[in-house]
Amino acid sequence: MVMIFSYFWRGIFLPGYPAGMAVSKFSISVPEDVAQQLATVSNISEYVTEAVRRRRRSDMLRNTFAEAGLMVTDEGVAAMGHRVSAKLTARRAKTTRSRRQAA
Amino acid sequence: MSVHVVLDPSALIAYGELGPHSLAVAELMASVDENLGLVGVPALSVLESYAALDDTGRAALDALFTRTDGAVVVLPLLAEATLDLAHRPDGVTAAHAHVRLAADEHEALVATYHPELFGDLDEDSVLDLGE
Repeated sequence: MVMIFSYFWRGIFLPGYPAGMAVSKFSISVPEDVAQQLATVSNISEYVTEAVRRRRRSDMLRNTFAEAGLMVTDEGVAAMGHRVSAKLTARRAKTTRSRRQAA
Repeated sequence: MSVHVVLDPSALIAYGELGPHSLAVAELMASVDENLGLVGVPALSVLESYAALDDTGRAALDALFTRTDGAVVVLPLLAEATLDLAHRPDGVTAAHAHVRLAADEHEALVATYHPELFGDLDEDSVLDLGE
């Protein structure tokens, strides 16, 4: 698998981004499975931007925990995620039901 | 992105104490982030927690609020909600009333180490971090 980022222009302006926001243009090589996924989206730049921002936020969160001496594990996070998802789904289903009954 | 979980003061203080209960709070925040949600902290929880923590704990919370790129958000107390809190039932602190209000507004879970303080809420609305 090879991924090469070629940074070749900075400061261009593209449609879909806030006025005045400088953007940079890259040429990238991605594995076939990623290429197939990107082929299905209408705005690759927006898709990749969102994915990178998500990853950045996740990294910053985990770095903050590590600096505090808290070593979260993937297993612990997954277990907590299951608990949260189950309760959140049940909670929101109940809210939806009660709103329908009230309507 | 929506708020999935609201932290009450006990959860926030547990995180800031950097003790045995901190890891569960950190794992909770990481799991919410992985599921494309936000962790909400009502403003009054922030105030109560900072008052209960030492400088080290406050620094840990500072980092949480300022260096996580918006994964953890402070939920404001708006003018119209202030009167609701002022008229809260006896025995309910302003911070806990704000947690209830925020959780209701965002259809989020209350994450707490003191589930008995939210015993009147539906069991699916409360995440007991001590479990």
